[in-house]
Amino acid sequence: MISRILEFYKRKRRGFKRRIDRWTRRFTMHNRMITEAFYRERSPKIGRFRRGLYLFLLCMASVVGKVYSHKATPQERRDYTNRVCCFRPESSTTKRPGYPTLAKQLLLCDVVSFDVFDTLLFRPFDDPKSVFYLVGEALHCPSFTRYRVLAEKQARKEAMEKNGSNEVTLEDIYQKLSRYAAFDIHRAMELEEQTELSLLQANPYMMQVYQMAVELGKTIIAVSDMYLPGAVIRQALEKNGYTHIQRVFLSQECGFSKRSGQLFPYVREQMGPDKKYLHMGDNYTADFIRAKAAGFDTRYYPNGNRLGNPHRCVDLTALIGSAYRGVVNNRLCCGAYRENQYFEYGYAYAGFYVLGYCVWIHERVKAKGIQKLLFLSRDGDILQKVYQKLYPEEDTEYVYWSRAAATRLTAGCFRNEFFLRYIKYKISRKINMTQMLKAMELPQMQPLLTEAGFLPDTLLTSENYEDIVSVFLSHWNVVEEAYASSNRAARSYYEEKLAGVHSAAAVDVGWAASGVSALRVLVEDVWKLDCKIYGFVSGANYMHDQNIIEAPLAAGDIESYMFSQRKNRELKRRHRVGQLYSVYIEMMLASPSPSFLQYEEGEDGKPAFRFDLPEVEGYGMIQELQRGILTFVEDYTRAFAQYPWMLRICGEDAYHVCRFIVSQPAYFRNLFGEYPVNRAVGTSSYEMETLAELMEREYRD
Amino acid sequence: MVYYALTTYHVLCCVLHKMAVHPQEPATLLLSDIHRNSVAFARRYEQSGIFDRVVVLPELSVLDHQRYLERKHLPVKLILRACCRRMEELLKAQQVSLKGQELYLCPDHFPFGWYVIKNRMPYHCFEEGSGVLSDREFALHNMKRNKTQYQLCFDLGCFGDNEYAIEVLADVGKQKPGYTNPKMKDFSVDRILSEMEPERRQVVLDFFGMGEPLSLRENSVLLLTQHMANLGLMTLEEQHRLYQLFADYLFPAGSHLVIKPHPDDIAGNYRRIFPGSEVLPFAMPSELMRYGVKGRFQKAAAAYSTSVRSMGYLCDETLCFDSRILTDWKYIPEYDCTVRFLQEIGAKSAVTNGDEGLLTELSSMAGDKIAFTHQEHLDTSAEYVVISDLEEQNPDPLERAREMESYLKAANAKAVVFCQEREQFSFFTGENQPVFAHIRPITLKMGDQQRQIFVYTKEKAIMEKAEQFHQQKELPYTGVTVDMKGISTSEAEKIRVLEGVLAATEKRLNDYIQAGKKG
Repeated sequence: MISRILEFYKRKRRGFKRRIDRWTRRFTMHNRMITEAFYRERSPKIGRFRRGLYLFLLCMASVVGKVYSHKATPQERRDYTNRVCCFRPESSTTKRPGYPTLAKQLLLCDVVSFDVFDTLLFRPFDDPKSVFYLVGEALHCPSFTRYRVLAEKQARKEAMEKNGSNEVTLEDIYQKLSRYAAFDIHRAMELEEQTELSLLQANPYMMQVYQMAVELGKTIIAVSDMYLPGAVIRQALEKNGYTHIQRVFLSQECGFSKRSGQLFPYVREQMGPDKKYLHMGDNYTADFIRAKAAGFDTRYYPNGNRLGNPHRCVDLTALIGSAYRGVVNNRLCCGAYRENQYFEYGYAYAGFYVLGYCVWIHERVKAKGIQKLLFLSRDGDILQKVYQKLYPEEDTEYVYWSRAAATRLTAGCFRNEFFLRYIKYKISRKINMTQMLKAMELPQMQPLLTEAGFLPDTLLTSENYEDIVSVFLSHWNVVEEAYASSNRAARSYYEEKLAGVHSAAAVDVGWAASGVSALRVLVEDVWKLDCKIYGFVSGANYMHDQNIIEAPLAAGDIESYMFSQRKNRELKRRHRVGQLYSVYIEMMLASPSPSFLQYEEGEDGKPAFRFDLPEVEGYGMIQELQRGILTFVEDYTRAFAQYPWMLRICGEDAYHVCRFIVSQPAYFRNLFGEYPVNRAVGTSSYEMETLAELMEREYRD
Repeated sequence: MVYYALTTYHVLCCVLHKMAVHPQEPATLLLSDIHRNSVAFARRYEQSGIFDRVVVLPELSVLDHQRYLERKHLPVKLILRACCRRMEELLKAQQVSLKGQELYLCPDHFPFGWYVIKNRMPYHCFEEGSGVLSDREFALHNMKRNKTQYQLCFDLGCFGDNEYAIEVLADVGKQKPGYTNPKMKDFSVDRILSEMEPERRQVVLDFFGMGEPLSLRENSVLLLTQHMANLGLMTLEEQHRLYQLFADYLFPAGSHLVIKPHPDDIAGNYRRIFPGSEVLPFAMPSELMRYGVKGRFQKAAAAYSTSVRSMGYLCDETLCFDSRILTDWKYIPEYDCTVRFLQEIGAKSAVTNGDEGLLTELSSMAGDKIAFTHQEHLDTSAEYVVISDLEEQNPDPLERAREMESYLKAANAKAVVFCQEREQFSFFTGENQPVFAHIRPITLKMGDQQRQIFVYTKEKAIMEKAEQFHQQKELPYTGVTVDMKGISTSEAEKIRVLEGVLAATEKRLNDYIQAGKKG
């Protein structure tokens, strides 16, 4: 009996699960208050029962408290339910058949038939309606997208009433559109056709299948339910390399669609009833069921956007968001590429942020008339690579810089910064005088400290902090002398880099813009070079002093891309430094090279460089991540080559994509758990911890 | 008369047997759908008129049923009975009657063979492949993937080892020396083809879609592909890249490329990746090659298929590597750069722990041939040494570095080249910084990619040659130019940065070593 019940459960398990999920969703999405509270508190550590109980209590509270608010729309739900692929590469979850398998299937047929849209050709959008935004922009018609959708709906309805089929042509749609806006219909139609043509690109997976079919000498045809004129579709196919397609069957030309089940028998009749057919398409009903019913051998190719969207960030602006999701889905879900998770991290998340940041920098550079961009190491590495790719004509340089070097170089100006970084912030690490001086590279201070009662093995504590600072202050000339040669080397290095430049900008990731501020002081005030230094950071948020760069931000000398006190302050509030959001975002810009430590004077008097201990274990991961970023930038810019304004990704969008991923500690623990982190940067300590250890410590604290 | 065939080679055997032995008698050809090629070309086979009827036997469904029953842990006997029942239904559905028919099976270890043996029908058996009758190890090894089939092979006495097999048709000349089998009767495909009149032979060529023989140019070269992607050894993209590198590096520039895809290499896109080349039909058995072309090939190359070795009758030179090529192919540019550098410093012979065959071939393509000898443990007295780390077994990088350090200390070589396929600075222990005084890198730039090989030498002249080394190699099929260059003094800042990075690396290694000593 029990075994029968178990058997029954096993058989119906999927159905049960689906039903439970449906009920949970119904309760969870009941109203806004419940939805937000439930998802905010949801944790994988809490069991199903407790979560269920919590949900029940929330529903009760909503009833008792008479909370009536609107239900989350399907679009809004996705913001709560979409999840990243934590434990395996997304590109391998699509389970597309390999080429050899398809080749065997191709071999057995005479005619290979392909669906066109989302199969042979991709749009760089996750929603085809996004194309209408571009058409509307060209027509200077603000509500064009809505009008266009309504017009199509009406045209189809009318066609159904008239002909019993909802197949329409583009002209039918634009005839209806004239009720909403008065513009030249032919020009508008042409614009839509041109926009489609400029955006459509070949699906790399299907291109390979198509080429196999050509190589095997098969007859190739295309079958589509589409309102666009046949000439446009043929042109799009040819432009994208599908030059051996013998015939294109369009629903609007034939008068019946694939979905109606009439088009495939018609194709069969036209091409020869005795031949063997294979059809591939992305729509289950139209391309799989209907084709099968007509006696075609079929290969269902699930829509890439359907597969990819449950893993994408949705809380973005309509147009750029659709473009972002479309570009990412087209690559990760098409089946042509099997990438690793590091590449996917770079491609699906970091690439969007880096591209947006670089384009924003470029706009600021033009607006301020900046002559040269200095990308500060190490975060500037990938930024400079991308910037160079986008704007090769501009003068950019990757310069060696770090907080450690800046602290020492500006020790004469900002003494407190020096004490904070090398003494106060190290108290928690329980280091002794020798270790502290080793990090400072000031062993000559030991006798002076010993004189004051601080022996080499005396531990650094908050009680003795001020006394140690006093010793340093009373012997400040020792510090200045020790760092003098480094200062000379740095000056000579920047004199060379800024030769003939009167305005330059330093680019850094953030958060207190300390690097930018230090460089500004050194160049403008200490070394007195004839060059104004501006600063660009991707986000301004400093835990210890929220207003640290308020003045330069107000003056416009430093600008922030994503958020600051002055810009997108809501995002700034949601940026949880304690949950390592900043660390994860910095990891997006990681470089496969050691951290820069200090300038030195070489034997020939020229500046030489000293680096911190290299975290070589992570370099392989970073190289893949950078490859992902560069590939995304290439794909995105190629997709919108004719629409440069599509590259203008606002900081809020960029941050939402970053936040979508940085708020998933499980993802980072799995992906970068073994990534070496040198928390004592600048101390030349070989004792590194892994990101997993750091996460454990920080989340515990 | 009924013939049963599975692969393209089997179909060729049936065709030749029918034409040579029973030219006038009516015959049916049963094609198993296990091999897709047979099914795909069934219509063409029928239209050729050699057989009166060509029937595609859906044998794959029987095999699927057998696997299903196997998963249910049914005894082999029951599985056999179920499969035979299903086969009978299939034959009925296809209206094929075996009663009173003379049966020719090629081969007899698939469901149709089981059915024939189980029903005690006398039949003639062809050997599985040329010379396989005396050497079944490979065929049996492949069969092990299907437990039931493997078991039945012995239980039923497949390969003609049963009382119902009247004779076994096999190429006697290709059997192992001394092999005897009382049922064996000579059936040599090569001999039959050579003895055939040209018109009749053309019928065979047409049957396999060859058409008119291809006239070769003087500079024609042959690339025999294998179905690595199909076997899951690499992706299709990698397979394409492998053959592009082969064509770029192993054939003389400007050669007229002819490609013969393996019969199972259906997915290969050779017309696209080798524009201007001739692609022979993949479904053509290689036994027909000599009749499918007019003229000789300058060179024929295959990755690791030894079949190319037996094509001396058609090619001036044949080239084939061993299975190491499946990993080594990615580093062909590094190996080419290595041999070019060795040629520049006048090396005539060298030792290596890498792929000696590939290195030798690359040297002969790049200029003067260098004789490479493989040594597992490198000889310290060798003059020139090429070190590959692909076969490295030791998992500890520090130990590997120490081993390399001691080798460099003991070696009297004029130059040691590190190909660095996997690991850079494999000679650096963290303590032997002076070694860098004898190291010179050579950088290979290929489009966006950059790779490096390192030259270790104590001779000043060789060191200078490494610094000034600059060569370019165009790869027309891969579509890039490889720029091979020693590091120049103009890149001073880069060198300084590298020195800084190296010092930091050294520090970290030393810290590790100290920690290890303490531990």
